Amino acid sequence: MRLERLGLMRYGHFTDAAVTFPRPAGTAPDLHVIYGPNEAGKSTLFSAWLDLLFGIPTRTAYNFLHDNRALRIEADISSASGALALARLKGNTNTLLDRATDAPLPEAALGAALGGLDRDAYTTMFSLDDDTLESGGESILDSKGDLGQLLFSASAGLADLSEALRALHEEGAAWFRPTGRKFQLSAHKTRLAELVAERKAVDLQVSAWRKLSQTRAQAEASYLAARARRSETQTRAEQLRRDLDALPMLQRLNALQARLAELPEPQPLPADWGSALTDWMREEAELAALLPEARRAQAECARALDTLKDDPEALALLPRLEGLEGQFGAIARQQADLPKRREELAELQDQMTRLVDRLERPGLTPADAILAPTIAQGLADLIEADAVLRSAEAIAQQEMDKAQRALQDRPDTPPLEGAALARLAPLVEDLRRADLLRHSADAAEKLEAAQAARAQAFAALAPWQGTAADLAALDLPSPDSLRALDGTLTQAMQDARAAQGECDRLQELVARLRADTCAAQPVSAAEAAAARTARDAAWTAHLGDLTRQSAEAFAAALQADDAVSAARLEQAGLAERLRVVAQEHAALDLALARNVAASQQVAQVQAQVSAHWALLGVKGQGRHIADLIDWLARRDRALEAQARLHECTAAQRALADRLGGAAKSLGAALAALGRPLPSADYATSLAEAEALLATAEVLRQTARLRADMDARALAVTQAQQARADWQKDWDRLCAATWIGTPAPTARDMRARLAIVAELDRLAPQADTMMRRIARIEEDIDSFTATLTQLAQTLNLPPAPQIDSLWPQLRQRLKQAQATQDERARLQTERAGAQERLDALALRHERLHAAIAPLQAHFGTDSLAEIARQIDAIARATELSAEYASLHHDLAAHLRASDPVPEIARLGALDVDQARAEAETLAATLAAQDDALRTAYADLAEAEKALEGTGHDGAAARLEAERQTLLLQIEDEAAQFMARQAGVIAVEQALRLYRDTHRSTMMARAADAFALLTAGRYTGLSTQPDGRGEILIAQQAGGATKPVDTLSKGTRFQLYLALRAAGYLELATTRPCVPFIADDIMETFDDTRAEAAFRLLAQMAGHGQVIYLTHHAHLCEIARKACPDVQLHDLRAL
Amino acid sequence: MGFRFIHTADLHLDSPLRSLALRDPDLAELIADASRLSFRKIIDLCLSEQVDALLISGDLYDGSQTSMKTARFLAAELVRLDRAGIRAFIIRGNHDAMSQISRELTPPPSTHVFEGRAGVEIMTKGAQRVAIHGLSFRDPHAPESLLPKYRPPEADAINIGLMHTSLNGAAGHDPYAPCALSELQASGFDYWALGHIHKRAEYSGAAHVVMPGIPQGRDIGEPGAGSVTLVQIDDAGQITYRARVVAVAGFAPVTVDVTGLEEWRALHRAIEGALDAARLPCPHLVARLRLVGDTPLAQRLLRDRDLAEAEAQENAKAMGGVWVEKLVLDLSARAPVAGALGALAGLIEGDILPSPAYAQAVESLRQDLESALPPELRNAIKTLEPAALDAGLREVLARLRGQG
Repeated sequence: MRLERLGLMRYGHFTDAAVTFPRPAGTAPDLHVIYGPNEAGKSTLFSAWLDLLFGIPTRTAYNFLHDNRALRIEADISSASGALALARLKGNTNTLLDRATDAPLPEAALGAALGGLDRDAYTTMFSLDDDTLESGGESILDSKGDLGQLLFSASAGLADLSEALRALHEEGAAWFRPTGRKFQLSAHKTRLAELVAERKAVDLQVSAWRKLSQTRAQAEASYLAARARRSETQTRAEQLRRDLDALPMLQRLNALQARLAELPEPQPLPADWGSALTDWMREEAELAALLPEARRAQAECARALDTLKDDPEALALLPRLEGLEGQFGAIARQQADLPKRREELAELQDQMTRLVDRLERPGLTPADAILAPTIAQGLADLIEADAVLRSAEAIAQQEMDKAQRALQDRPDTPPLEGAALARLAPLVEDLRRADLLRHSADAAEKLEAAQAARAQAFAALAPWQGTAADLAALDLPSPDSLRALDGTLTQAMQDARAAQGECDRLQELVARLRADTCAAQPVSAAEAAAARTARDAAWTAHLGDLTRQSAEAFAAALQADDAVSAARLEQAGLAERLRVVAQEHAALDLALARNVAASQQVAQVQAQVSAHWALLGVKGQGRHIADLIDWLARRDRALEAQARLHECTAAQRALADRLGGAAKSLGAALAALGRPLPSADYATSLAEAEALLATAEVLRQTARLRADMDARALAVTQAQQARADWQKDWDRLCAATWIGTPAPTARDMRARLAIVAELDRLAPQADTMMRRIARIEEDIDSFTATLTQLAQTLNLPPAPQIDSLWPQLRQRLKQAQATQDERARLQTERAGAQERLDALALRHERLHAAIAPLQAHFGTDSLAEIARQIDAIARATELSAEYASLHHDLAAHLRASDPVPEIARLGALDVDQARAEAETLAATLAAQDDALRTAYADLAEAEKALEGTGHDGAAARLEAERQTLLLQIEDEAAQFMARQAGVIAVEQALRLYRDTHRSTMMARAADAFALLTAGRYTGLSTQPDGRGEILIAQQAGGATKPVDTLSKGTRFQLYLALRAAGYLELATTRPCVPFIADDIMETFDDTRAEAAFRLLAQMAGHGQVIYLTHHAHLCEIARKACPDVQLHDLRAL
Repeated sequence: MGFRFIHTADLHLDSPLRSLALRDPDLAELIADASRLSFRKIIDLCLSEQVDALLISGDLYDGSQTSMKTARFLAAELVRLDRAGIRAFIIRGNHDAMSQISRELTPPPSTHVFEGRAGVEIMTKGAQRVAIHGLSFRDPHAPESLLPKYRPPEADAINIGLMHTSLNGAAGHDPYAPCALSELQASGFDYWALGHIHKRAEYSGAAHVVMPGIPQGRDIGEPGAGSVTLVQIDDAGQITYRARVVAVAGFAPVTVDVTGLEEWRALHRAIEGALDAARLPCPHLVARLRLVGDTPLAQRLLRDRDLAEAEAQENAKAMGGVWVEKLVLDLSARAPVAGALGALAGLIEGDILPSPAYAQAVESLRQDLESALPPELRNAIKTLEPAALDAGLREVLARLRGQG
């Protein structure tokens, strides 16, 4: 990109001002120095250029003369993509305009020319004033921005290592760093300390255990001592209590001894004396009462027996009378029932007589009226059959009448031929279902439509004309290949146009270059040598003379030599330009060749298209490929319409064939039925066949009705015959009985049969009743005879009725029986009384024998006296035993083996003193109890403390955790050391590597710096500093200086060198942009300023360089450093 | 039935396990008190096998052990035996002689602790008489054989001797009550219940000499599933015995050849296969993984060793009962480094590593770290292993390459 002209139309104090930057001639550096004293507008110009490129900022300092809305900057710019004439206004949108038309341009128009640089990047790299030079330089040295990175990236591949190394460093530092506190290792150590503390808290050390054990042992000792003391006291207290408790026993013992002295000596007596004595005394009294009573009862019985009288005749009849006892009840009941039975019999006979009267046959008895069972059953069956037969005959007659009515008005025509009909019916059915007539109409319609469509499609192919076959045979390419051809044509035409443009440009360029080279005057080496020799000779002469004349001669020779040298330099430039001309010429040839090739392709494609059109009979010139593609689509449609028409025709023909075949089949079928048709029309045939089928159906129905009628007539005849047979049987049965002939009707017969059946049921009942009455009368007569005979035997007065006879007999018998029973009872009683009397006498005897020894022993007959003496002896024995037991108890209570002295001691005991001592001891014991409880509590507590220490593994677990942590730290420490040693090695190696590999930008910067300092500083190098690197300047003598120790001027030269190096570095990779600087050499002396201009000239060899200054002498220096520099004076604006 | 007893030794109760695998809190929860768990299993075994006696041949605790909780735990477990009517016979080993707590132990009445003077206890089971001899360490060291001090064997009895001895001396152990195997065989005893050496060993001969080993190994130096010996003496006096595993967890080095593996997943499959094959007859396996061989994954492994280790640990955990304490790389192939980094590696090899500046920088860092480490670990990085430094450098280079 190059700035051709910058117009300050309304900007700052400028109005309609412009600076033009002509291209330098040939290969001369494109260096421009703009001079303007203070306030002339240098800074305005500098700012205007940036504003043009990137827009006027909202707050601008250049609106003091012209209003914001009036501000306008213009520029002509050329770049690789062509020339641009631009204008810039102030505003928010559409501020970039085309200068000629004032139409808005997109910012991208400039963006492309700037190679994507934004304002910041551009000002940092390519537009410098004092401030940006310094600040930008610092940031480069801090390795910031593109240039900084370029400077310090020693070479590709290791660019990111610093980053990775820093990560490793930080990772290590997170675990440990010598200076610092917060890192993983210290966290580990804190945890270790915590674990030790935790463990101490839960653990139980031996010393603590021992202390607990000792406490327990002491508590146990005190407990045992307290227990012993308490036990001693208790023993004494118990002794006293026992003594006091024994005193009442002692008193009771003394009392017993006194009572024993009053009683007889205890002596052993037979054991039964004491117990039996009471019984003996009771028996003695009992016998005294019972004996007189027994004797009196015996006498009483003897007297009663003598007074009794017996009746032997009556007793002899007793068994017979007992047999008649049961008979008498039954006979009496039957006699009472008899009148009732006789009434029942009369009633039955009366009923039977009434039934026979209803039969209206005089003289007929009930027995005669009863019919034999077979005849009665036969009559009943015939009555049942009569109803059935009558009903069957009536129904048969009705059915026959109905069939006759159905047959009326039926013609008497024979049915049609069966086999032929069977063929015709399915045929008609199929044809009806196929609906051929409708299909035929549809097909005709479709055919018509297809014909019309085809005609239309073919018409659309005009101007082409011909048959479908012709059309199909046409050999044309596919639409896709035609489209590809179209693409090729368009591309070829574009190529041709582009090639033409390139040719024009190159031809012009080549012409200009040729003109330039022709103008130059060649200077030969010999001429140069001669001029140098002349100058040297003049110098020698001048040295010899040292006069004004010799000096002028030398000056002239020197001038001539300079001119020759200049021409030689010019010539070197010319050679370069000639080389360029040759290159451009070659490019021109290439462009021409491309142009020709493209044109040929265009012609070729167009010829092909014409050929295709010709095939269609059209003159193809000027016809477009798109039309052809379109025509091909129409052709496809026409061919489709043709195919469709073909299909329709075929379909229509097929239908016609089917109709003909069907008509023929129908005709044949009709002929077989004897109904041939004159014409074979399908519709007519179908109608005729359908009518014929209907007629055949009617005939079939008539035949079926007639057969029905015949069957019904036969049924009527059969029913009438059955009725006649029945009448014959009926007459026969009636004649066989008292009914006789003429036989009655079935209904009459049913009534008579019912009466006969009733008689049949009653007759046996009447017989049974008569027999029963006769038997009862017989029983009563027999019983009366027996009773009368018995009465005579006993001399009782006779009685005609059994009712009065029977009680008398029974009375007599009962009397006799009672007397007999009384006698037997008295005899038994008398025997019993005698027996009791004997037993009592025996008991009296035994009692006397038993008490005789006692009477002898005690010397008295009185049993009462004997009893008193035995009692006294028993009491003495008892008291003596109690005394012995009490004595034993006392000994046991006193716990003495020999009780005698103990009892003596007890007898001598002072009771009051003993009680007092016991009270004292109780108090002591209570106190000792308390002490013992306390001691026991202490012991229990100590034991609990000891037991409570437990044996859990918490402490061991904490120790395990601590060991694990130690292991972890050890492991991590080893890894840390290994890794960090690796990092150290890499860092040192990286430093070494950087020293041996220097970046190209560093090399350029070093060269530029050497140039700027006129060789005082010979080079630059880097040195690691902390995590980054710093730049070191090397002096000619070999000394090195960090850049921050350089003087301000030198530092600015370094900055400039860095920018120059960056500019040159970037120039190799992207399009150049104008480099613009605003008085950056304030601190430079003249020598260095000249060197700086030489550097700028070097840069200007690659792109446009503009330098703004207010120092007039710099213009001179610039010209001296670069004779081709173009000077501009702002004052001229 | 005969006489049955269990013989163990070197319980080292509450001596912590030493493994990085315990950083996993899940595993720590399961096996941090493994020494207790395995002892409890020994007691359970006594009860379930209904033995007549438990013999412990010394080293109940670590010498440095000062927690009474440990002693009380032992006592509580012995009470369980007492309740079941099973006797226990204990001699003190060198560690117990050092330990303060062993003097404080108050065992239940059925437990007999032999004194520093040789003793013998007779037990009778049916017609069988069994004489149990023992002698405790009086001091932490016993430079001379203790065998001559034992009582002569009882006539008409099976003689069993409890002895804490390093035998002829074993690697890693000072000589403690040294004693030749042949002397024990010739002593007229029937069974020597030894202790002290933590690795199981059985010697047959005139006398059965058995070193049961530590029942619960504490680190990779005590690998395998620890066991006790269950001994049966039949009525004819015939002795048979077999080992019974009681360890909760066993350590094992597991080497995985990764030669030819090209995929990360295949690598993990190989590791899982190796771990599965290395399972021990106890509930947990704590493995130290070592990868050997030549694999294209070497570079990635060097760079992401931490990741590979974490993944291996996770995968192992998912297998159930398998834990990885560490992943060690011992890969044979050195990945060639190309480009600038290669040049850098060359510089390191040729110029930096031999230079005093490098040695100085490393030493300075080492001293800084050493002074910052907890006192117990001051010696941990006294010397830096060249192999470890090399591995560190390779890892750093791998990571730089990964980044670049």
